Amino acid sequence: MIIFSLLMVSGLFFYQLLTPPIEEQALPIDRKNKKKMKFRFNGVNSNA
Amino acid sequence: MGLIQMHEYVLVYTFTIFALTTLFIMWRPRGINEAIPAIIGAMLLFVAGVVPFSDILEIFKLVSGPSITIISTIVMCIVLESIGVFRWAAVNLVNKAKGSGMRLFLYIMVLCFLMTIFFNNDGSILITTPIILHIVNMLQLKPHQKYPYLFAGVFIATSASLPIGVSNIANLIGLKMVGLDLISYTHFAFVPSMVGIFTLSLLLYLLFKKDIPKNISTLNNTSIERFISNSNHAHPLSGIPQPLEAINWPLFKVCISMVVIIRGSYFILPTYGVSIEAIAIVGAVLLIMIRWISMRMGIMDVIKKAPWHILVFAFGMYVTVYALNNTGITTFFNELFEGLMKQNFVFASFITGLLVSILSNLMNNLPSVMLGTLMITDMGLDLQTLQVSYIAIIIGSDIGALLSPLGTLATLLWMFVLRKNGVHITWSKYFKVALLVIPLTLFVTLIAFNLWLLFIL
Repeated sequence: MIIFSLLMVSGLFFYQLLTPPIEEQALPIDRKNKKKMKFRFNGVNSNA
Repeated sequence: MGLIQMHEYVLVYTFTIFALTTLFIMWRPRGINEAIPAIIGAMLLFVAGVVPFSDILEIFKLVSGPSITIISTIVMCIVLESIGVFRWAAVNLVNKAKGSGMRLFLYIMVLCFLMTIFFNNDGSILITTPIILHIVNMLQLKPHQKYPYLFAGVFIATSASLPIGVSNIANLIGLKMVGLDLISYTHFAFVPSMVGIFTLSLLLYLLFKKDIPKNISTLNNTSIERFISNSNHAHPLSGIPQPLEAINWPLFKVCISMVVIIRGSYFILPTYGVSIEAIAIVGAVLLIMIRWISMRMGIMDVIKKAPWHILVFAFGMYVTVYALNNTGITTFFNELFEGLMKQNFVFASFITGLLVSILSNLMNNLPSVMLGTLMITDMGLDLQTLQVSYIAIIIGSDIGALLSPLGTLATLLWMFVLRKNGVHITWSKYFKVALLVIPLTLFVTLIAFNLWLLFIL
């Protein structure tokens, strides 16, 4: 059980090491989509 | 006389086949798979009658379980890689280092350690070496500044297969032969091996203190994207270079949790009679199914990339070592060391640990562990001395074997990945680093092991 618990704690560290902060997880990497989303967002705003 | 001549002939034949098999495995001319020389060597020895058919069946039973466990672990690694789990690792580590070269050094060591703990040493080297190369190239470090990170990666990833035993096929094969399971192995090995890994980290830090840059650049999103779009470092497991698209984070979280839970299950479920290989297979199948449900990705990539040859390699290698054992080489060692080893644990652990370290650096750690295990099981040691000797053999194989690149397949793989990416680390450079850190780490680990034995026995 001790080993199991140690592994679970290590798993949390492992997860932390591999994941960026939540705001970066939402970062759109594809520039094309980023532009498209911006364009659509501007359109929605101007219509409003 | 005829019999003696016949015996000598078989002896020379077996030694020659063994030497050639080992040579071809380490040399791998034209990049041939290491399983090919191993199985050819085994077939030549079987045909010559050095290893009888009944032993062949026994050997197959012995190596099939550990091989399936390791193959399943690498399958899990392939699934995680395919959903992009490791693709962001380089960027994450640099971001988390917050401009400190020292912090990055520490994070790289932790990543390599955990990769081996949750997967295995070869998988860890295959995944982390390109990540480290990404990082040092992304930060535009000078050649001498790259060494601390690269050496820390390979040394920590390989030695990290010591604490829990399931991270290296060499550790797994002999477990049953000496009456150990994963829990009792970890009970013996965890604490001393952590002392060893800590010592190794400290020595690497002291050795490279001047070369580790104090400050490293931090990344903004534009530089990350520019680096990724210009990057030509294809990951060995990924086949062709893939564009870095947004990752499916919920899937990522489920898969990472699965890997951790499966690893933990190795230490819970065997007490209920479930075999380790069964847990590993279920884990791999579950990950493939989760990926299919979430991304509609089939299993073709896994079938193509999985290292199926591991079973053939381990089997071939064990037959070759078994033949060597049949020639009486272990009897020679037994006569030499038996008396001393039976005296106390200190002699038993130091003799086997040092012997396997030396053998590993001459002929790779997998055959050395096999030979060492056959040697101690033939000695007629009591159960505790047998198990202590086995753990010392693993210490020699996972730490002592790092003295030369020949010592483990992981270090050979590391040299290969570096060369493929244009980083040339000469053998003399390797020896200069290894000689300063490995013997002392081995010595400290063996002492820690003996002190731990005083505490637990």
